[in-house]
Amino acid sequence: MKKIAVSSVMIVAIAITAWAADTIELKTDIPPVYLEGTPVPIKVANMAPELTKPPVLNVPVGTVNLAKGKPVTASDDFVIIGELSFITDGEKEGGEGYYVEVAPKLQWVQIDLEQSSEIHVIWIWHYHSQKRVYHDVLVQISDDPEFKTGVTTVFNNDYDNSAGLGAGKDQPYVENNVGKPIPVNGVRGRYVRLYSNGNTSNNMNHYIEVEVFGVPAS
Amino acid sequence: MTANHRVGWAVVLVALGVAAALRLPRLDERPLHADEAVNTMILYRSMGADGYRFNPTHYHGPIQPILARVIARAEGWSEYIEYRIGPLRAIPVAAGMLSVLLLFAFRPVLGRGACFAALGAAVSPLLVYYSRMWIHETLLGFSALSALIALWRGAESRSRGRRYAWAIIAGMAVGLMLATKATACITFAAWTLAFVLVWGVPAKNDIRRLGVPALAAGALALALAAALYTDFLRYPAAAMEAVRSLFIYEKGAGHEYPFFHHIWLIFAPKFRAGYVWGETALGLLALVGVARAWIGAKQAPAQAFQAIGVGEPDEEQQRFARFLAWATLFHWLAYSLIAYKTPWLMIVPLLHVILLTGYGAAWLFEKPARRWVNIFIAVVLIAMWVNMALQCYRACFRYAADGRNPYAYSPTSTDVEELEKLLIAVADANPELRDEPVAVVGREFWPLPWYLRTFPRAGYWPEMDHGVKGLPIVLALPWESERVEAMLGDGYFSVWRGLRHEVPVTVFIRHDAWQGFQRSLE
Repeated sequence: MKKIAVSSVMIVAIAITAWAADTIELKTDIPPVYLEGTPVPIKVANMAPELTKPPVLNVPVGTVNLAKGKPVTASDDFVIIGELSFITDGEKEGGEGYYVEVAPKLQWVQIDLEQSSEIHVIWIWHYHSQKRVYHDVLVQISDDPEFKTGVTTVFNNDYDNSAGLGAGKDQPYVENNVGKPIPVNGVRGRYVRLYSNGNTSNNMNHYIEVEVFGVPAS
Repeated sequence: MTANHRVGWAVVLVALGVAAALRLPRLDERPLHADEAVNTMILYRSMGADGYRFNPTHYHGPIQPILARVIARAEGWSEYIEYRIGPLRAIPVAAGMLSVLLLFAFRPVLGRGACFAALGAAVSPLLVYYSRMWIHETLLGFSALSALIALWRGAESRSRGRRYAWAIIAGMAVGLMLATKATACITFAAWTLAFVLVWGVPAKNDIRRLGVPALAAGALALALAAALYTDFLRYPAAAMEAVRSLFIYEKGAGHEYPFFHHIWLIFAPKFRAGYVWGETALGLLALVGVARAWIGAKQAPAQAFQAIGVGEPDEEQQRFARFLAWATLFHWLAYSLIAYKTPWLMIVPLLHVILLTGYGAAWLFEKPARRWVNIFIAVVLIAMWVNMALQCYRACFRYAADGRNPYAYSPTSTDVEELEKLLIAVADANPELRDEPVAVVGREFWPLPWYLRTFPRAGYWPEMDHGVKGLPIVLALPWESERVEAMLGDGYFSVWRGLRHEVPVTVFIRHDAWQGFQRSLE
C-alpha cells in the first residue's frame, strides 16, 4: 500500500515536472498608465479586483500572440473613430488615436486567426484613459465565422442577460492599463468574437488591443 | 422684390432651416442633465396647489417653470412619472431659434453683418447644444438680444411714438432677463460701461428725449419681473427675495476653473474623440470685426482700405460695433474673474462675439479688389460653417452625453437608462419590493430622482446611514460606496453603473431580490 502511495506521488511529481518543463510564463507588453480626468476610488465586492500588474499565467512553450496583424470584422460596418485593424496592431497606448470606437449598445468585434488553433489566454484592452466598466463582456471561440455552431463561451459577465446571450457568472471589472487577461485552457477555434454593451461612461464600445495567445496549428 | 431682398430672404430661410435641423430632432434622446432633472422637480412642485415659490439661494429665476407650466398643462401631466423631457426642451429650442431670427433685426445697425451673425448663431456648437437643454441660459440669451436691439432702436428713434413702442419691448425683455437669472446683472453692468466708453455720459438733450421712455421701460421691467417672481402676486415677499438673492445665492462646489478657462473652452481647438472641436474660426472673425470697429478714416486713408480690398466703415455701425466689443470684453472679464465656471454661462457673451463675427465677415465682402478674393472668402466662410454644423451634429447626437464632448458639462451617462431598466426588472421579478424604499446614499445624486420615478418610495440620504441597512436596493454615490458596502455586509450583490461623467453609482441589491431576479431570467 505504501509502495503504491509513493509511486503515485512520484508519478504526479514527474507529470507536473514534465508539464512545467513544457510551459512558460506568459509575457506581454503592458502600456504605461494614461489617465485623464479624476479617477473615482471605488471597490465593489462583486467586481474583480483591479490588476496593478500582470498576473503570472503559464502557457505551453511555443505560445504566441496569434491575433497580431490578423483581420478584424465587427457588427458595426462603419466605425466612426479609428480602424478595426487597431485591435490587432500591437499598439496599446491609452490616448486618442489608439482605440477604435464601435457603434453604441450591444456590438461585437471578431478576429480571424486564419487557422484553427489551441488558445490559452485572451488579453483585452478596451479603454484605459478612464476608470470605467464595460457591460456584458462576452468572449466566444468558434470555427464557425457566423458563430452558429461549435461556440465556446470563455468569458461572460452579463449578469442580467441584457445582451440576450445568457446570463454569465464572471465578474465585471474596471478597465486599466494592465488590461483583462482571460485564461482559456486550450480551447480550439479559428475565430474569436468579443461582445460588449456600452460602459459606465457612455453607450459606446471601444477596443485598443486584443491579444489571443495560443499555439499555432502545425 | 429686388434681387437683394430675395438674397436676404434666402439667407433668413437658410439660417432658420439649419438652426431648426440642428436643434429640433431627437430632443428626448439625451439623458437628462442633473440641472434639467432639478428643473423638472421644480416644475412638478409648481404645478401643485402652492404654485411656484422662488428660492433665493438656488435654482435661478421663475421664468423657466412658469413657461413650462403651459406645456405641462397642454400635455395633461399630473403625476411626475408622466413628465417627458422632449416637450420641455422645446422651450430652449424656441428661444434659440428666435435668437437666430432676432440677429437679423440688427441689420439697421450692423448692415449685412447681421445676416452673417445669424448664420453663425445657427451653427455655433455651444449655442446649439444648450438650445437643446432645458436650462435657463438660452432664454437669457434670447431676452438679452431682445433687450439690446430694443434699447438701441428706441434710443435712435426720432419718432416719439416709436421710442415708446421700443421702450415697451425693451422693458419686457429686461423684465424677462431679470426673471431668468441673476447673471443678467453682469450684462447690464457690461452694457452700461460699454455705453459710457463709446458715447460718454448722455447729454442733457438726450436725457430729456429718452428719460421718460427709459423710466417707463425700467418700470415695466421691474413690474414684469416682480409679477413672475411672486407667481403673479401669490407670494409678494418673493419680490424682495429676488433682490436678496443677488447677495445670498449659493453656488455649488466643484465648478471652479482658472481665469482663461472659458476662452479656452470656446475658442481653443481641442482634439477629442477623433475630431477637432472648437469655435476658433468665430473667434478669429470676431477679431476682424473688432479691427473694423476701430480702423476708420481717421486711422487710415480711404486708399488704404481699397488697397486691402475692403470698404470704408460706416461710422454709426462702427460705434455700435465698438460698444459690442467693449461689452464682450466686460462680459468675459466678469465671467473669467468669477471662479465658478460652466459652459452655459458663455451663451450671452458668445452672442456678443457672434454679432462681432458678423460685422467682421461683412467687411470682408465689401468693395473687393478682385472677384476671386470674394470667392475665396466665401469658400472659407462656408467651410467654417459646415465644420461648425458638423461639430453640432456630433455634439448633439453621437456624443451628446459623452465626456469627450467639450460642450457637454458633467453629462449624464447613457448608462443611467440601463440602471433604470435593471432596477425595474429586479422589482418586476420581486413585486413585494415596490412597497419597500429604495435608498440613495450620497450628495449630488441628480438626476437619479428622474430615473427612479417608478419607485415612489425612493429616499435620499446625504451620507451613509445605518437606517438603509437591510433595504432591498441601495444606490451609493462614489464618495459613500465603500462605507455603505462595509455597513451592508455580505448579503448584497453589487454592480457599477454610470450616473454622470466620471461619477459611477454602486448598486447594491439584496441577495434574495437578486436571486429572485436571476430566477426570472431562467
